[in-house]
Amino acid sequence: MLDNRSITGRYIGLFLLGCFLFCYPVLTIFNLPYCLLGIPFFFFYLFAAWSILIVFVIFCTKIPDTFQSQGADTAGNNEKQSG
Amino acid sequence: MLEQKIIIFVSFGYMGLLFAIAFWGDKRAEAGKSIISNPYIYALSLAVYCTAWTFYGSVGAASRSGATGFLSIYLGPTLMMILGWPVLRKIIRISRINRITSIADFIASRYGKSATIAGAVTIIAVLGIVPYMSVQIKAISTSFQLISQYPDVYMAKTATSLSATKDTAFSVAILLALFSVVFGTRHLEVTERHEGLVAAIAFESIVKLIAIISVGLFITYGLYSGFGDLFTQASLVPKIKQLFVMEVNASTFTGWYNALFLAMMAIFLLPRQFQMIVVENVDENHLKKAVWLFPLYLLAINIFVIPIAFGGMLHFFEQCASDPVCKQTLPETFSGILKFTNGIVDADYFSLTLLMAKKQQGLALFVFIGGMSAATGMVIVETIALSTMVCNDLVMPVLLRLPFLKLEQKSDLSRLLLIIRRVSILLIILLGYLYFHYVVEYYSLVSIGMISFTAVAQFCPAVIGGIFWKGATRRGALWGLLAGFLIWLYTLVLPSLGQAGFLSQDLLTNGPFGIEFLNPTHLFGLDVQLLGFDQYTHAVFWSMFTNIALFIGVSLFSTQNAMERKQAILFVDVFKYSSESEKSSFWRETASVADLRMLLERFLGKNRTDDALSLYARQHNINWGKKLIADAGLVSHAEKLLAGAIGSASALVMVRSVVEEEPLGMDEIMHILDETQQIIIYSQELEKATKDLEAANERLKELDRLKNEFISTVTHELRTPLTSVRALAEIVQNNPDLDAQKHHRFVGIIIKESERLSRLINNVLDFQKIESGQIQWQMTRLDFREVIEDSIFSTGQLIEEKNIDLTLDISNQAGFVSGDKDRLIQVMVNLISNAVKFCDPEYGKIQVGMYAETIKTGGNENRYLKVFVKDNGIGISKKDQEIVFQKFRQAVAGSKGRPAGTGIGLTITQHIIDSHGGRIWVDSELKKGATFFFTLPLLQ
Repeated sequence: MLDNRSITGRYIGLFLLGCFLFCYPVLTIFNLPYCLLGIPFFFFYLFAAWSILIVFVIFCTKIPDTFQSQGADTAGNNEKQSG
Repeated sequence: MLEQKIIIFVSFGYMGLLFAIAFWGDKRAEAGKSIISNPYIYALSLAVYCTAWTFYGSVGAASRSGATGFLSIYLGPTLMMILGWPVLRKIIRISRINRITSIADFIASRYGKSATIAGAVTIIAVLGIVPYMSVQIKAISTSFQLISQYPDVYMAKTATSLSATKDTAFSVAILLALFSVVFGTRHLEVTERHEGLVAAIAFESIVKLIAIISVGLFITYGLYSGFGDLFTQASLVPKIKQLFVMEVNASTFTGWYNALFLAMMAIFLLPRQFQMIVVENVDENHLKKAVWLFPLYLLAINIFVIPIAFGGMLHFFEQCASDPVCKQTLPETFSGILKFTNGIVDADYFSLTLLMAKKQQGLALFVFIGGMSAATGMVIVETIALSTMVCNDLVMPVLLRLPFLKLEQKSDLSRLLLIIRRVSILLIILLGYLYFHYVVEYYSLVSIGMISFTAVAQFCPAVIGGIFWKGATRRGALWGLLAGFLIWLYTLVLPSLGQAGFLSQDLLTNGPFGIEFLNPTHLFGLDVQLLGFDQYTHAVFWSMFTNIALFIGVSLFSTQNAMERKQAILFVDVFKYSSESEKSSFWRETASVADLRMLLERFLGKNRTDDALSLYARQHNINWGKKLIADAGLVSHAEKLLAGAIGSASALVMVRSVVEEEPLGMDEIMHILDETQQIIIYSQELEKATKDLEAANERLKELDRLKNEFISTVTHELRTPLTSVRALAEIVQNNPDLDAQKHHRFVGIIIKESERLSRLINNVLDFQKIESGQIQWQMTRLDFREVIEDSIFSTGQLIEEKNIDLTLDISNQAGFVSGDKDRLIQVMVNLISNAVKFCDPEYGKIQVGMYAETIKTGGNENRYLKVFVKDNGIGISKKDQEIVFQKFRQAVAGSKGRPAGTGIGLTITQHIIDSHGGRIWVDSELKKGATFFFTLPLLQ
């Protein structure tokens, strides 16, 4: 069952993955003077890693629309009425 | 030749379009059909992050230092958005509940609605954003200057053209200010939400994205035949080829992390980002999609930055080679500026100048509009956010505290609020212009922006610490903020002013008064060269270090007042108290409704007050005619309404002026919020536990009494047969010449009495086994007819003796059950002998029978065997029917006194039936006999 804590855990995991992909030592690994598909390898890595991270975020964090974070319901309604 | 008239006409036309969108958005919002209430518009509105810095500056940064020069500014926000669910959602929730209107309001509200903190944050934000504002002014005026001299790409040829740029910049600043005023302060919002503005910003985000992608496509596929071709051409130029990889050294290392950190902070701490992410958020669930939509936008807007930079470099380096001045002045590493005979070309504007050089008039104009779009979006949202802060957190608190102004007696202050906001917008943009005028020409777009990012990063400890650490105090936050701000001023702003000639260069080289230790470019003797720190890393390191250290240190050694404690709990535990805190009130006492209404009208105007109060009345079923005294809830509601207009710190002061009673004391607030809630739960549990214990104790006492009774009954029951056995045995022994008939009778009685004795003892032993759970069940499949027959056989003598008429009512069909045969026989024997015992002494009748029955429980149908034993004895009263199965209980039957037996036979019987998955009960009326029923699950 999807609860608040497991969703938070997923996001933190993805955040750490992002930190790893773009940390300086990892960047130096891909800092190579070659070209891949005509694109300098370093640029290719940066944009590919970035895209992969976004795709991961899309798929790993699919939260059903029915999932309401606790209290969201009541607070949301009040605001809509008085806002 | 592009005529200036056309450029101006198109620019104004575009602005008009934005107004139309904003107007439409507001109309739709009023009609209740919000156009911004979806995650896509929300994500696009966050893209107000991409300003002229992104649009023009990134290209310059990429041409100076490759991918690492600009990408971290967009990877930081990507990482931060991934943390949107745990961090940003919390900030959004807190802000909605507390009606937070700005970042200053947020921080002040967390630290006890402190006006000092609100003021400090506002000052830091305004001064911190000034350089950033100047970037936009510079970008618009430079790009305007460039495009209006189409197709000439060189700028600042002479001193006159430089001052012409400055004149343009002044007009641009004035126009921007007017736009912002009209956009943001058309009317005073109760909640500081601007639906139309958000719609316009989302539109702007689309325009700038399309613009930059169009240039990128034109360069990549129009001038070259794709990425491969472009990079192959670029690799032939050493100055460009060296940008293909990053230079691995201390400087790129620290620079990379520094920019990543600053961008992570800026994405939600910049006043305009806070406005868009938090204040303008319609539904917190939009964040779910925005966490990937916004990074996707950032990715898209950055894809063509490198191709544009390289395309520009390829073209202008070629030009440079044929220009005598340029050829000589071109340094080893490209600094972003090319000096030609006819003027300079700045890499920041490659996207524009390259199109102009290639005679792409229409596309160049579109790019100009895109750049303007990026810049105006930033200026409008930023000034609206800042002016709200200046008005609510800086000017109003001061004005309200000045007694001679007698503001408290003014009937309508909403006009005054609007005027203050408009004036502050003008002043902020003017400051931006002045900074541009005197300082900015020495810097590139990106480097000025970094000054602002460093300033807003100072809010990070107070905000992040504030929402996750209850112990953070007002003093800690204030000390941290001030220290960080002062170091920012000292290490970043001072050197930039020094470079602009406002201060003697001596300060930057030798430190103040020749004290090298305090040199603003390497404070406390930090070896910046060795560490690879540039001036931004240096400033970020020292300012964040002192900020965090003081924030934590002072917090640990200072105490919170009542309001701080309350706010700390509301912020940190926002998800726990979400529902309660809507109701929670700081106010204990009441105010008159008329006073409150007057107060609201002064700040919100009459119409909005009426709307807000009638809504409250509808929600709470209040009739204003009858309600004269406002309770704590209404006072609290009014305070929140006011907070939306003038900020929480000022709202608190104003409400205090109406409500005579002081706010609650510390222990009382704790009472409402935290501890008591738990204490109540604890005490409820305690009470329950005590009650349970008391009941258990009562039961134990009762059992103890019954056990005593049982022992006396048992001993009495045992003694009676024992006495008769002994007496008869003595007679037999003492009279050897007893006649045979008597002898036989006496021995018969002795046998019968000893049988009764062993039956009693067996019962007691059985009971003891049941009580200690030691019974071993021998479960077999058996036909219950056999059980009945066997039990009748063994009670046959008893029945005959009493001359009882026994009828059997057994169907021919077998009733198979799973059970322990001996135990089930015991059940039947118990029931039959019970029936015999209580049967009518003269015309005893017992009926024993069984039949199958289907019982519906829930959706299931279960087949049971139902067995009954019916007598025509004295019967059992309704009251006694409940207790006959309890241990040591016997129904006291009328005047006859206690019946024979121990009172545990039925308890054993019930236990056996329960263990077989059945149920036993009795149906009876006094004097009309009793029927014992029991059921057993039938086997298929």
